[in-house]
Amino acid sequence: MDNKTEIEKLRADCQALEEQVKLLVRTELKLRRTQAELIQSREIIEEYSMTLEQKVEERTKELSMSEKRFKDIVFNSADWIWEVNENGRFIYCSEKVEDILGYTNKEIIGKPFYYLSLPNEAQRINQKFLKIASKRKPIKDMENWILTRNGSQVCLLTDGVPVFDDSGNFKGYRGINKDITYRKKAEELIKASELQYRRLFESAKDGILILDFNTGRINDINPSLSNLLGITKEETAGKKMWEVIFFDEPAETKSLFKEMQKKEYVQNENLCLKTREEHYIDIELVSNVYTAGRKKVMQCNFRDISERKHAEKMRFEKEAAETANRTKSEFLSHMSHEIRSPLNAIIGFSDLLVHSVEDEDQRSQVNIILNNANNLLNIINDILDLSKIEAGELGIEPAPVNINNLVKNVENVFINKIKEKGLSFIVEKDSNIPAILMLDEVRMQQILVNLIGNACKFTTKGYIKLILDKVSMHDGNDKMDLSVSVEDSGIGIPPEQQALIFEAFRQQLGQNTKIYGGTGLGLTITKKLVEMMGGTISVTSTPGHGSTFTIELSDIQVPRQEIISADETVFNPRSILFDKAKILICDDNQTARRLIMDVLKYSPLDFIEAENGEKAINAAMQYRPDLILMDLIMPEINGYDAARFLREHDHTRNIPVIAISASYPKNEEQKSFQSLFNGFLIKPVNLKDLFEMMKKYLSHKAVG
Amino acid sequence: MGTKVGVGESKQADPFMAGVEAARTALSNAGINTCDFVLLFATADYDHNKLLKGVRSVTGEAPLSGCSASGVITQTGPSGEGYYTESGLVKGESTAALMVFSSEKIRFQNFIAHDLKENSKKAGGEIAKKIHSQPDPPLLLVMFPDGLTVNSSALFSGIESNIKEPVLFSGGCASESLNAFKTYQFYNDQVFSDSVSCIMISGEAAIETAISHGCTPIGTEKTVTRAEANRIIEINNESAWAFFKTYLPENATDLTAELAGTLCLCERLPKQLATNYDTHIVRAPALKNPDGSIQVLAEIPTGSNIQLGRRDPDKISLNAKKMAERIRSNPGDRKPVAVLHFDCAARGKLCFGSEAKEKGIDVIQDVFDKNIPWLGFYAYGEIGPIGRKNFFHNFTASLCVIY
Repeated sequence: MDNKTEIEKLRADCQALEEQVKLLVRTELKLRRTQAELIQSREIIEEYSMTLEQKVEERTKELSMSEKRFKDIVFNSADWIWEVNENGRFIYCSEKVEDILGYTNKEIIGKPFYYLSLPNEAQRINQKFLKIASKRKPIKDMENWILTRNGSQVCLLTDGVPVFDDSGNFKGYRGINKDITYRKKAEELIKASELQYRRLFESAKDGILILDFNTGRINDINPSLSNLLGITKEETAGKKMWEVIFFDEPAETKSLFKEMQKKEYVQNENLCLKTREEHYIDIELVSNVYTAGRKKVMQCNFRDISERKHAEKMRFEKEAAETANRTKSEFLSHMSHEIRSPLNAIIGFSDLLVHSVEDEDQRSQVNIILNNANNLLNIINDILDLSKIEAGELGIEPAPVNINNLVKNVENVFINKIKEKGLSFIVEKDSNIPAILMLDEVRMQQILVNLIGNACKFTTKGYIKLILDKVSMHDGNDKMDLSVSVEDSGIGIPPEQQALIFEAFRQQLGQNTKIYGGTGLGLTITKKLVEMMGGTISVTSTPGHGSTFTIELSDIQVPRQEIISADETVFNPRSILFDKAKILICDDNQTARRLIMDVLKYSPLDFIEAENGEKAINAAMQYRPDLILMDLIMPEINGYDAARFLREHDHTRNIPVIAISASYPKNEEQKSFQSLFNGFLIKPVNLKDLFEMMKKYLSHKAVG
Repeated sequence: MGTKVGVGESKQADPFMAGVEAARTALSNAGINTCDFVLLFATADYDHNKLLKGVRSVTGEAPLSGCSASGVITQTGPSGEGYYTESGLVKGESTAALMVFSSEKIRFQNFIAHDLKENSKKAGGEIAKKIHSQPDPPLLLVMFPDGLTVNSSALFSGIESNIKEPVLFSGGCASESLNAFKTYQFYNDQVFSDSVSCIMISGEAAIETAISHGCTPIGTEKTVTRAEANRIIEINNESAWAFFKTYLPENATDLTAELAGTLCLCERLPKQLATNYDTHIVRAPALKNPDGSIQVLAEIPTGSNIQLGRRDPDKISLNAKKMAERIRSNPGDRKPVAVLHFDCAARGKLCFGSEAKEKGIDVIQDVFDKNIPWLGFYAYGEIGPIGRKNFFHNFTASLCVIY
């Protein structure tokens, strides 16, 4: 091979090599692209994988969050979250159940749905659950009362949804139990309250109208208003207040409604309601506004005040009359006083003249002056009494009164006159009437004097009889009803006059005042005094045969402790001898102590003296006497306080204490008096009463 | 106070907010509130005017230089780069990264020169004038020329022929999203194209540069039979495009970045330079002109012998690691205050695919301390000296380490 050929061959080889280089370069380019495709695919896969991982991570995070959220909700929920299987048995139960029922969730799991339902409810609940479950329906607002561990009951509101697996098979229920006990109880209270208020509304004596605040349309009307107006509730339906309620002024209702809207509270007593029958009724209207639900309503109360208005009118008239009467009495009282002053001089000097004038005619004339002046004085006294009564100045003050003494005193007033007229005076007294009664002695005597005085006046022959009759005892013998009658055989009173004789200044028609005298006020005063004592007076009479005036007094108090009053019978202090005993005599008056010791000197008694309450207490504590005679009114410590002290101490509590006083205990003292003292003697002390009282507490013997 | 440097990055789509975020992060990482200088690289899809406003709303009037990029590189690796598939270009995500400097010792003077396409040499002359106007002698000139229009040979000549004392160059050509459409250069608050953005580093600093490639010449040696400036018209008496096309897939109609990134032109280096570098220096065909000529970013004069070269990924990684180790060993115990990194846009995902970070970047960064502020970008051409002579390169990684 020559050089040229060699060169040509090398060139050809280079060319071939260059072609291979080109091929390699192209192949490399293709490979690079393939490599780039692979890179892209890998990057896409990596990106997809990263996205997927990111999604998985996010989803896991979401699930974790969701689970945490669920746990937080379950843990913090006030409700009990549960799940039951297809057989209705709990397979999950949140811990909250323990707070609600007192059972742990472990105790509940496995138990049936109706577990802890009330025994009489369990079957019904189970049936209800099975029925709902059979239809795979959600459980909505099912309310059940459940027994808790401590035996109390709670009301649960159950909501749940059916649970299915991925294949759609029913697996049970999942839901929430809410404790609504408080709400249920509140609802019951509200219901009860609503019922209560509905009853009040229906039964209210006042008429009640409920209106829409804005329109005045009637929402409700109660039966009282319906009756008052004479319309039915149905007739008011849809109507406005001014279409149903009418007053004496036609335009008044609407303006009244507007006023009530504006002021919200209105009270009006000057309305005159017109009924369907066109009667007019005085009413008082009170309106109030309140919110019921979201609506503002107006309540109008209608009160029928016709009677009140009438009563007010009557009271007004009466007060006017009483004022006039009182003015009259005050005038009379004043005038009487003005008359008595000169009359006192007339009587006084006439009395002197009677004894100094020697001429018979003149003495007779002076006697006439004296008698007429005395009559005038009696008239004025009666007028004064009446005016005092009517002016409300004369009060009744009950105090222990010895009935026998009272009768005796009255008899003494008339004894001479009755003898002069040749009449008999008879006293008939029921022996069961207690000796002492709580009466106003002065006024009782005035009543009897008036009645017996009248009888004496109108009886010329025959008798006058005073009858005291016990009608009944009651309140454990603490009170009694007493009947006192004055009967005469006088001229009598015609029936038509009997009703008039108690009126002031009214005397029996035809009564000759010249013959009988008097002011015509005696019976009026008597009647008023009896009424002030809470009693009544009546008269029965047959003209020509006589009259009987009867007083009935009720609820006269009978003093419990035995109060022995003076007896006129002469008592011999030697007739009773007490055995040896210690007697404490407590009185600030030495003479009084001396008197008691003198009358008791025939018995072998040891006396201890005390001049006030304090010394009496000391002596009683020191000597322990068998009996204490205690004056009530003393300086420093009085009889009441001393007795109270003695009663409070064991050593002296049982020593009998007899009170001695110049005055009767007052009404307000009666109660404490009875608990402190064993008996009471009025001064001046009647010897017989003293001995009778002491006999109760000391051993003794009668002599002769 | 010394020198404070910080890097910030943002992937926000909104350019203003991306600028704000990157600047705030950089200042925060530097531990400063204000800075003396800002170096910014951002993917080309941003509205860079808004991006600059965002940055300067944080950094204020501090001088700013930088350019658009195919992707950015920080100490956390590369981001924002696109790549090709059968179905076409896959765009990378929008990214902006910037480095802030605050130093009493190191000074940064920035310039801008325009009209590279028309006259890169003139632009170089403008730069030289600006260098001369500075009071300090330059330590390094870092340039970011438009990667689609520059004639680096003319640019370098324009500078070097107009300065008294030689100065070393470093930098990278502004790039974009592998579309060969338009690149941008940043100067303070302004955005330009067909320009070169420059930084003159001066003051008390030591700067080490290094460069490496991983290409292997293949096939027989060819001759550039006709060339004008940086345009190769014929190779072996055949139109340059026709010559190239015989190596490309049959359906190739244009010199896409993908294709341009695969083949390169290797020029043999003189022996004295090849000792510390490689036997060849690498040039990439940048554009196919309508007349079938091929635009190259450096001049390859008529009569030059060239070989086609192919990228060898393993060699790229190996040489990059060696380069890093070499440059790291040079300054002894000194600790770098910042690293500027200009890597070829064809060496990212176009070369390594999904392993671009590990094989292209980590091999370099792993040699250095992880905390060193690091900023760079994928360029359409790299600038770096070999020995004391400035060269324009393709398919290389150019490092500039400031101590």
